[in-house]
Parts: sequence; C-alpha cells; structure tokens
Amino acid sequence: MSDAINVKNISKIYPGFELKDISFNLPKGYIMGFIGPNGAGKTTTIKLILNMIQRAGGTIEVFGLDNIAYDAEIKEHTGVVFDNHYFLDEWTLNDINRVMALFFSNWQSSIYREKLEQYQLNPAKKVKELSKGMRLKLMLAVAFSHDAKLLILDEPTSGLDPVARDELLETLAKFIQDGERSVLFSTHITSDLEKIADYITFINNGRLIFTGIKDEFIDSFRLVKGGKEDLTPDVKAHLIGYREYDSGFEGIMYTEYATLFPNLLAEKSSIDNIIVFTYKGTNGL
Amino acid sequence: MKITLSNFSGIPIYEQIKEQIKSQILSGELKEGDKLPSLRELARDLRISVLTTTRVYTELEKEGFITNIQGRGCYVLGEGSELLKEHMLREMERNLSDALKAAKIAGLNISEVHQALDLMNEDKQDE
Amino acid sequence: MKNILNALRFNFILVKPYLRYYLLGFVVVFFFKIMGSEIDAVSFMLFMLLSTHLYPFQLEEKNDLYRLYGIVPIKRSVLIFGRYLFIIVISLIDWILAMILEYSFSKLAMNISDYLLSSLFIFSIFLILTAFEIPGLFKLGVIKGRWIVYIPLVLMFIIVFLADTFHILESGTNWITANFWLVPTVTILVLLFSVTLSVRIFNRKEF
Repeated sequence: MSDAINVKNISKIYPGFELKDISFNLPKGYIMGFIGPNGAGKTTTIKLILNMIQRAGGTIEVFGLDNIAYDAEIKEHTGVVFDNHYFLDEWTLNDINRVMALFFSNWQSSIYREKLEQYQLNPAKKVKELSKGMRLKLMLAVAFSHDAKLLILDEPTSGLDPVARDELLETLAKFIQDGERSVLFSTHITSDLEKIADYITFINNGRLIFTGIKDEFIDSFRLVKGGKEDLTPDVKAHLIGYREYDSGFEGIMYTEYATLFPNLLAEKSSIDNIIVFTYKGTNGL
Repeated sequence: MKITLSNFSGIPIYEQIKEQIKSQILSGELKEGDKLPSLRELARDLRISVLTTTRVYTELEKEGFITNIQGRGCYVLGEGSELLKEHMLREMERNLSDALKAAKIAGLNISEVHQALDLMNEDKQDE
Repeated sequence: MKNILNALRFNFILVKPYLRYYLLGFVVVFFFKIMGSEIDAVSFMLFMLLSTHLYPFQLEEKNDLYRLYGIVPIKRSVLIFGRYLFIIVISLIDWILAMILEYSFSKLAMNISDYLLSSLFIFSIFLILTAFEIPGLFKLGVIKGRWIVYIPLVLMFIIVFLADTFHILESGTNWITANFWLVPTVTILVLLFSVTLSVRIFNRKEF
C-alpha cells in the first residue's frame, strides 16, 4: 500500500515554539484526522508539507515524491482548503477560473463551472460577498477542478454551521470512494472526525502524541473517574491529565494503566476529552 | 441490507454493524449469494471510517458468513456454508461450556442441565 | 517561458479591479494639459506609476496571497519574473502614452527623436530606481517597507528638479546621443541584479 503523505522526523524552530520530530504517514485512499489544540503546530506541519516554509530537519514525501524537489508535480494534484480563502477579495469567481487556469496545467474550466453550479455559487459574485460556507465550497470546487488526488484541509469547519459541516463530510466520503484519493483533515472540532476518519494524528505543543488507526487511538485511552480520596500519588503519576473538583476527579489514562486501578471508573473517552486532558497535563494545568 | 447505528449504546460501531449483518444472514433476510455493498460504499453511506467497514467484513469472512471475491466484492455465504456451520458449532460449544460452569457453581447435576435444556427446546418450538 | 507569461498575466488579473485608479492618472494629466498647464506628462505619469506598481505588492500582502502561491504548481522564481515583467510592461505602456500626450501638447522646440531620447533617459532612470526598490518590497512587504517606496520618489523628484533647473535635459541630449547604448545597458544590468536578489529573497520567504 503506497502512502499519499509520508512525514519523517520533521522539525521547525520558531522563537518561542518548536515543532519537533513529527512523523506520520497517510496511506492512499483514506482520511486522516489531524488534531491538537490551537497552537499545537498543525498549520506549521501543513505548511511544511506544502513547502511553504522551510523545515529544520526531516523528510517529507507526497505521492512518494520529495516535496521540495517535486514541488510543482505534487501541487498539480493537491487541493488545499484553508480556514479562509486564498484569493483576492475583489476577484469574481470567474476571475478565479482564469487565475487557476494560468497556474494549473490540468485545470478544467468545465468542471469548475459544473461545481459552482452544484454548490449554487454565482460565478459573477466577488469572493468578498461569499459567506464562510460558500468560501469553503469555492475552495473545494477549485481542488476538484484540477483533479486533486490529495486534499489537505486546515481548520475548514471552524465557524461553520452543522449543516455545512455535514455536507463537507459527505463530500469527503465521496472523494475517497475510488480508493485513490486521500484526505488530511486538520481540525479542533473533533466530532467531525469521530466517525469518518480512518487515521488520527494527534500533536500537542509541537510534539507527536499519537499517530495510527482511529479506533486504536480512541481505544488506547480511558477516561477514569473517582472520588477525591482515590486520587493517590500513584494514580496521579499514571494520569496524562486530570481535573479535580469538590466531589472527585476525572482524567485521561493510557488503557494499559487503567486496569491497574480497578477501584476507578474507566470508560471510553471522546476524542475531545483526550485532547483536553492531554493539553492540561502537558501544560501543568 | 439494513443497518441502524446507535452512538449512545456503548457498543462499538464495528460490532453493531457486524451483529446486524450476522442476524440478517441467520434470519434469512440476506440470502446466500447476495452481494454486500463495497467497503467504501458502506463507509460513505454510514459516514464511518473505511477501516471500520474493512474490519467488519474481515471478521465476517473469518467467521464464515461472507466471502470476498477479489475484484468482485463480498457475497453472503448463507446458512449452508461449511465454514458457517463450523463456526456456529464452536459458538454452541462455547455457550454450553459456560452453561456447565454456571450449573456447577449452582450445584446442579448433569441430568438437571439436560432437563433444563429440553424444557428450553420445547419452549422454542412452541414459539 | 509560457509559465512566465502566465505569471505576467496573473499580475494583470491581480490589479484588474484597481486599474481604474491608474487610468484616472491619465485623465488628470490630460485635463491639466487641456487647461494649458505646464505640467510635464512624462514625469507626472511616472510619478503616478510609482504608486501603481506597488499595487501587486500591496494586494498580495493585504489578502495574504502567499497562501495562493504556496499551493499552486509554479516556481517562486517564475512568480518573480512575472512581477518584473509586469512592472516593465506597465511602465512601457505608461511611458509611451505619456510621451504621446506630452508631445502632442508640447511647446518645446524639440524634434521627435531628441524628445524620444530624453524621455528614454528619464524612463531608464525610473527603471533603475524601481529596480533598487523591488527586492526590498519582496523582503519586507509594503507595510513594513513603506519607507523604501519614498526613496525612488524623492530621488525622482530631485532628478527632475535638477534637470529642469539646469536644463540638463536639453544639454544632456547630445551626450545621450553619443552614448546611446550606455543608459539602456546599465538599466538592464541593474534590473538583472535586482531580479537575482529578489529571487533569492523570495525563495527564502516563509509563506
């Protein structure tokens, strides 16, 4: 099975923030959720994959090709959706058609127009007149019009209503139908991923916490709860992160440790709780 | 094929799907030779991970309920399948051994277990 | 080559919504001329141009178009070539139009070829000044690099002022005629240096 994205030990140093030793691979034909709290380094990682910024170390391959040496070849077949559009506010959707035809050798105006119609976007409208949800659709239309084999989405759903988010999930599920196309989906709205994602990569504070199959990810953590007296130093040492309140505590623990404390209530955790408590734990909150 | 998933049952999604397909095969709703939706179709329809549907089909195949014909898709093997029979035999043996263990703890002897089993069988046939 | 021309066309689409402000300059100078003003059309238009050729830089910075550049299959150096070509093309158009305007209203006792030469001289100096400015704009952007923009503006003013005061334009014509290829050659060399510098800067830029 070949990989759509293969990231090995990449790092990037900024003043006050360091992305360190991030490795993961997204097999062709699947959806990977890329999660972590704001400031974890998700956008930095995506910009490194897209060769928009320079890495301090490591290697990145997209479609099995080095992302710097084969920058143009990779981008012909990579569609990107950012949290906001990457066009000129004053451009009309027709202008965008002309611009993209200049840049992509495999650009197909007919598909672009088809997609605009399908998404009910008026080609004469200016980008600045579009709502958040319409801008997302516009970026998807662009991606589909140059036959993207890989879709990279960076926080596309923040500020979107549930209907628009559901439509996006539907679109992504269709996108990977033929088993040749893949999606890297960065988000902090994890309910989007809870079901649809095949793989999860979780980073926090510039470090990789987990990468692998989503079910294994959810299964490798337990939400444990107990009374105040149950929060012994031994329990604390095994908790990744926790929250204490008047009548007890709750926190996240690796599943293998959770069995060591049969007196605690241990249950499956949502992805949200895993992120929240990991964040609390590593930031000493 | 009919699948309804619950997000609140606490039962893993893959297990819910697997059990529903199984029971539809056993009840005859899905017949031998019926084609199941492809992995990706099923994942898209249910809005779930392709890996989840892959796991369901792999386990169903291992248990003898379906067969995967390379390049053509997954088909129901049906009740006549040797594999399925063998699987059900093992399932029965496991359940009976559980029953025997329970009987032992309860202090019942083997003829009493036989009696209980006959009684159950009569009830089932009355239905 | 096709890519570079595409990058050039991209710049035109980029400034398209703002071209009307630029065309306004022509209207203004035309109006002045009709009113019998002594204003020098070439200097005026080049002055207008100094703010016009900033548009692509301003727009890409304001709209964060670097994200667009980051996702399209095009080399960064090609984008740079396209930008320079755009500035040269738009300056040429500007220069030719301004010259036609100036000559048709001119009261100077100059023949066409002398006039062409002197305005070519001004045009070359304009390009040289711009060439020094562009790498700075790629490096700092228009917001941080605002002050860079004023350097050619101020220099341009000084040169035009000196030329007017000491009648360099008229007396210099002979010298320019004698060294006809010198000014364009220097201009091209300076431009090449400027392009190389901009490519190096842009290749290292973090989008």
